[in-house]
Amino acid sequence: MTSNGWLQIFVFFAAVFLVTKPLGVFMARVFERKRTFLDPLLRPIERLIYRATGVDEKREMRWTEYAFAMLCFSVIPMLVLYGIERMQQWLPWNPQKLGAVATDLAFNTAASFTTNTNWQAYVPETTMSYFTQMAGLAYHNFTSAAMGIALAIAIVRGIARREQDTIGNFWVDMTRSLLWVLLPACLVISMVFVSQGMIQNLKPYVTTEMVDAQTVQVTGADGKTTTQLVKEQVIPQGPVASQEAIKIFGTNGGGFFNANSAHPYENPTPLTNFLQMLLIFAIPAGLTYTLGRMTGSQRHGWAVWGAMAVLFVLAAVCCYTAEARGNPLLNGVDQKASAQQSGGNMEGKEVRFGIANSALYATVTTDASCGAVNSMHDSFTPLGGMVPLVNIMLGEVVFGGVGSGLYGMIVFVILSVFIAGLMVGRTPEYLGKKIEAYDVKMAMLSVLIFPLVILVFTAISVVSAKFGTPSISNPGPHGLSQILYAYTSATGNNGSAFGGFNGNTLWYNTTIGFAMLFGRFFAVIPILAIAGSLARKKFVPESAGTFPVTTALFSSLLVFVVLIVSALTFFPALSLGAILEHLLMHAGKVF
Amino acid sequence: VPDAENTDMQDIVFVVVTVGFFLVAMAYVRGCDGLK
Repeated sequence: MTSNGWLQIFVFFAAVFLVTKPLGVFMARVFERKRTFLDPLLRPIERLIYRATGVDEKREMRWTEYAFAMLCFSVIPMLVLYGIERMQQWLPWNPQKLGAVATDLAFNTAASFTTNTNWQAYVPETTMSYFTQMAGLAYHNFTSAAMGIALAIAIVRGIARREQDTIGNFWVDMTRSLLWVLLPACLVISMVFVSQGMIQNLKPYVTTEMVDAQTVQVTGADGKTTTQLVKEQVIPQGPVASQEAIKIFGTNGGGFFNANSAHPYENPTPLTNFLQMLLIFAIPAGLTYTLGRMTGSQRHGWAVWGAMAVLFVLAAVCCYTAEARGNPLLNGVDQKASAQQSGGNMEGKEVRFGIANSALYATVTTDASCGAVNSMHDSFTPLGGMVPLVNIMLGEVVFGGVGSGLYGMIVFVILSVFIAGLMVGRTPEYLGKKIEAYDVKMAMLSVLIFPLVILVFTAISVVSAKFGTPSISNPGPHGLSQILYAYTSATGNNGSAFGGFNGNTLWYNTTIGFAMLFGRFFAVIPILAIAGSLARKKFVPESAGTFPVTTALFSSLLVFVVLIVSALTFFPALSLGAILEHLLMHAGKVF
Repeated sequence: VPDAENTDMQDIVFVVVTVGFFLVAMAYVRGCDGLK
C-alpha cells in the first residue's frame, strides 16, 4: 500500500461526491418535466418521437401496465438481437467475414445485453461483427440502461405520490432517459475518449510484423503439438470509443475487446481509467440526490448516499489491502511497492494501472452492475477476489447500476424501516407511507429471487462432472468460486467473471442466460408492485414514534441490513470458496 | 456459417423459451397484483 494509492482512491471518492448533486438535480428536472438547458434542442425531437409512435405523454400507467410495457419492450428487441447474431454473416460491416454466432451463445448474449448484464462467453473481436456490436449490442446498452433509470424513477414517483393509481408513463420515461441523459452524455464522453487515443473506425483488422518473433506450440486437429515461429500479429480495429462511452456510463460493461478495459484501445490513459470509474458511479450516485429531490426529503437522499459510501469505502479498503499484500507463498520475491514496481499481487493486472487502480476499478465495477474490468478478477488473492464477489452478492446496491442500484437499495430501505418498526412495536413508515404486509412481501420476493437462482444453479453445476466442473480451470475452492462468481455475476446483471472459467458451453450458456433474465425481471416486477402500492397510500404525518430515515442511525441500520441479508445467505458458499482458499493459502496450498 | 442440420430446431427452441419466459414474467405481474 502506498500513500499515492490511498490518495487516488480518496480523489476518486471526492469526485463521486462532487458529481452527485449536479447530476441528481438535472435528472430530477428531466423526469419532473421542468425546463433544462437541453430543451430547445431536444424537446422538438421528443415531441416528434411521440407523434411518430403514437405515445400520449400525458397519459399515465398503473404499475401493471408499466411492467407489461417494460416486458414487451424487452422481448422483441431480444429476439431481434438473437436474429442479428445468427445472421451476421449476411449483414453489412463485417470486414473479417465472421460467421453466425452459435445458437446457445446467441441466446446467452441476447439475454445478457437485454438485461444490462453484458456477460460475454465469447471473444468479441473474433465473434461479433461491427454491425452486431453497433446495431445489436450497443442498442441494448442504451435501452437497458434507460430502462434501469425509468424503473428507478417509477419507484421514486411511487414514494412521492399520494393516493394515486399511476406511477408514470414507461415510454415517456424511456424516451427522456435516452434523449436527455444517455445520448448527449455519451456523445461528449466518446469525443473525450477519442482525444485520449481510443480508436473509432470501421476498418478491417491490421496485420503487422512483430518486433520480436515468438515461438509458440500449437496443437492441431489431430492432437499433435508442433512448434511454430510467429512473426505477425493481427490488431483488431473498430468503433470502440462510441461503444465504450455507453458501456461505462450505462453500467453495461461489455468490452469491445476480450481484455475489456485492460486493452490499450479501450482504456488508453490514466485519465480514461479515472473517467471510466467516475462515469460508472455518476448516474447511480446522482439518482440518490434525485430521490431526495423528488420525494421532498433531500436529507433522505444523502442518508442513502451515505450508506452506499460506507459500503464502498469498506470494499475498496479490503480489496486494496489484500492485493497490495501480495502472495505470502512467493518466498524470496520482492513484493514491496517502490519507484521501480507496483508491488503486491500483480498477476493479471496491467502495469499501467498498478495495484490501487486495479483494486479500485474492481470494487467500483462490482459495486455497480457494470462488469467492465481493467484487471483479471480470477487472478486476485482469495480475499481480494472475494470483494467483487461479495459486492455483487450485496445486490449491487453500493451506488449500483444505473437505476437498478437505487431501486435495489430502496428494497433494503423498506426492509430496514420494517425491522426498525418491529423493534419499537409500531407500523413501519417510510417518508409518510405506512409499510404494510404487501410491501414487505414484495420486497422479500425481490430479494429472494437472487440467492435462489444463484445457489440452485451453482449447486447443480458443482456436482456435475459432465457439464458443470469441466468448465473450471482451477480445482478445489477456487473452482467453486469460479462457478459461484459466474452465476452471481449473471443473476446480479454484472457481467464480470473469474476469467479462467469457460462459460461457452450449452449448459452454461443456457442456464446463465436464464439466470440473467430471472435476476433482472423477477427482481424488478415486485419492486414495481411496491411502487404502485406506495403511490396509492395516504400520507401519514411524521410523529414522535416515526423512525427517521434522514439520520446517520438510519444509514447505519441500512448498511447492517444489506450486510446481514447477504452474509446470512451467502456465507456458507463463501466459506467453502474464497475464505477456505485464503486459509489454505496461508497453510501453504494454492489452487 | 451454422450447421443447417441442427440449428433450425435449436433456433426454434431458443425463440420459444425466450417468448415463454416473458409470458411467465407477465403472469408473474398478474400474480403480484393479485396478492394485494
